Amino acid sequence: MDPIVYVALGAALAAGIAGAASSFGVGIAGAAAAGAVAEDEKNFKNALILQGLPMTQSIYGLITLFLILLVSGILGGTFKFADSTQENIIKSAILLGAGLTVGLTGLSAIPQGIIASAGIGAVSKNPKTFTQGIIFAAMAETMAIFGLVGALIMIITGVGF
Amino acid sequence: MFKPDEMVKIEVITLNRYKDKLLTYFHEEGVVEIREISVEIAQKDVPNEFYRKATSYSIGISRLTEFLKSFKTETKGGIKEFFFPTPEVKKPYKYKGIEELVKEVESFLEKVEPEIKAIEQKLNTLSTEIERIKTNISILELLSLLNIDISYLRSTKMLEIVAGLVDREKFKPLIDELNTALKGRLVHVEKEMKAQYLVVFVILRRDYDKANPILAKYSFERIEIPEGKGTPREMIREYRHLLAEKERRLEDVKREAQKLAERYHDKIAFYQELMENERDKANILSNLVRTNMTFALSGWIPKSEVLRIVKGIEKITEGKVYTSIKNPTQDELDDIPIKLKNPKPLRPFEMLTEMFGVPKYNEFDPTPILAFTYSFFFGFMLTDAIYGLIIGITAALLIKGHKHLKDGTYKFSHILLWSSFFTILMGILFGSYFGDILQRAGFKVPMLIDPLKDALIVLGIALAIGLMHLFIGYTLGFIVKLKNGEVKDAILDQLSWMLIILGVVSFILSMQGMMPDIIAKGLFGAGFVLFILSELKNGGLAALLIISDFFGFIGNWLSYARLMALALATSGIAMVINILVEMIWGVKIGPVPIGMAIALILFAGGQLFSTAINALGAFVHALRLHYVEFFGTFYSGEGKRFEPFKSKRRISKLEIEV
Repeated sequence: MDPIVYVALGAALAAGIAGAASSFGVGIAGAAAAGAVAEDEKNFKNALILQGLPMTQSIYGLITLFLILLVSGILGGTFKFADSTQENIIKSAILLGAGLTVGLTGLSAIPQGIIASAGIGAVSKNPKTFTQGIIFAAMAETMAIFGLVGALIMIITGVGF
Repeated sequence: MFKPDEMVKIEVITLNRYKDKLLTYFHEEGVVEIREISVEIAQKDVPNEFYRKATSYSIGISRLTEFLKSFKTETKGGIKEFFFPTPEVKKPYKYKGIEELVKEVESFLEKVEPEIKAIEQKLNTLSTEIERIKTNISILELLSLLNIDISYLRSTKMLEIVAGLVDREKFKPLIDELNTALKGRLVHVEKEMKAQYLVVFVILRRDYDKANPILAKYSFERIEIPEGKGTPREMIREYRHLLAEKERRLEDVKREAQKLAERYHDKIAFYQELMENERDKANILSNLVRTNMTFALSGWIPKSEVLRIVKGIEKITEGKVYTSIKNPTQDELDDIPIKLKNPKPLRPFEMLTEMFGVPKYNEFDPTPILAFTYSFFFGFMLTDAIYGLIIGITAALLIKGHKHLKDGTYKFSHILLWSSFFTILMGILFGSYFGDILQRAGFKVPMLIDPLKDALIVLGIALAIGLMHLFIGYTLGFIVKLKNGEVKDAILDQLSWMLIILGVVSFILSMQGMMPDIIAKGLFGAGFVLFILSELKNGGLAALLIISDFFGFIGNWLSYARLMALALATSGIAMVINILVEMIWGVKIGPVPIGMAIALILFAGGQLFSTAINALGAFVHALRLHYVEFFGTFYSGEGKRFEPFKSKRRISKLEIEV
């Protein structure tokens, strides 16, 4: 395959999978948030913050997308790996791997949404559980963060600016 | 600092006639946690008539307050109220005894309650009437399809007239069945609607019992014919007039209610707070014991408060009292309530420790360390000088506005202020001001490390910090356990990991050629042997956990990589916004530089959003690193929190008359 295919796929999968997973997560939590607000409008602020937690994965995806576009030169205007030399293929394949890592670990947004929705239910019964609910939801994000760490290393040390 | 506040046990025996005042004194001071006494020879105290009354009034009054509150003109909310909430005025009350207080409330309620109830009654009647008129109008609108005088739809001596709705598909069978059952003695008018038929049946009165079950069988929805004369259209007009009049009346009554709310709400809320505090006191009585003449109470009090409180007790009881102050014994160790004690600047961070759980009495209070590492981690993960400035200014404003409240927001803002300091510092070190906007604009920014280019170095720093953090945790656990005489546990559970960490560190140093690697091997080996022993002490089967426990440690350590990931995520998001802004900046439609305007809006909105979402991430993950990784090394958080017997005063202030 041409290097451009790897690079484009890497960027697309990072932002695409993570973004889709985030929207699932935010959706699940949002449904719970709507219920909590119907119970008592005061729950709005807490529910909104909890609902926003599964959004971070899509941001990691977006950052990865931009980094891939940046190091491959697409964002600068000239694609650095245009020739199908072996080195260019290796570098662009690394970018695909990095994108895929962030995309797949981004799937953690879905369980995070489930945890967040349970947290929203708990907060509407007892507002004191707010921080605990956030921590529980943040546990699921760990995997996405590890994915981002891995991808950043792959991009910056494997390809570089 | 580092240890919970010293507690002593207080026991008081005095005469029954001082009970009310003494309890009130404790309640207002709020420094004693009253515990249940189990004494065989004396009986438990129970609330007297006045306490029972106070309890029931507190419920009754809260209903009145709620009703009046819904009519009170609210002070406007909004951003100013959020930063600078108006302070509540605390109205003083001279407390002579619960008897006087309950009587005062009684006489006040006698006057006010009927007035409020009357208005409430009026409101309810009017709303019911309005509802009824609205139903009638909608029925009439339905009947206007028929366009006949309503009086024709009323039953007579001989005839029963039934109007109603039936589903479209049930209409035909209903007519057929009625016709056969009544042998044709039936007249009907129908009007087709969307999914239903509007039907009026005329039947003989003596056939009614036969027809009724059939109508029910086809779920015929009967319509009550409204009172009045004339065609539906004429009647609708009349009803509309009536409705308007009633609504005007409703508005009048509401205005009356508003006046009432203005006059009485504050006073009633004041009495409500007084009654609720009395109810509190009534509830604590079951912890006391009494004889015919005397009563006794016991509880815990911080040592620093003892002198003042004992003096207060003497004054209230005119010296007719027996007080005993005892230091806690070894048996009571698990019973002692824990009050954290830290210097003032660190006190807000107690909130974070308490959220996880307070230490036991002989354990270590991690708040001072947490205060530093938490703010530092927060700063590391946010890493932007301007973001730090934004958060710092917000926090400072909140602190100023909430100074008189000393509420959760106030404490939380203090935490944010400390964290913002480290954020700014880290931002300067990493050369990040709104991400890389300055570099993009062509300025040269001094920086120690460029996080995006030297990601590996940042990762190394993060992991080094993590190793240090864990080492501090294990060392603290080691010291606490040694102090409490658990030498074996200290060596096996904590020293093992300390040696392993030292081994890892010296291994890294030896790779740089700074020391021979034999030291590293020795330290690591010794630590690992201790670790294996600590696993074996729980029995042979638990030894299976060796591998998972060891990698659990590795996992905890690697978890600190999030410091780097979130730091880079901040500069990443900021960079994304900056790139987008740069792209739009030059766009022009004709001579109009429309791109600049959009770019500025995008920049402000985007960077604010980025501040918020990254601050949330930094807050959550800094907390997580402490709760999961750091506390896991040494901290149980299984202590009992100090819950003093304390009054809740928002709008009232009690002055006890001695």
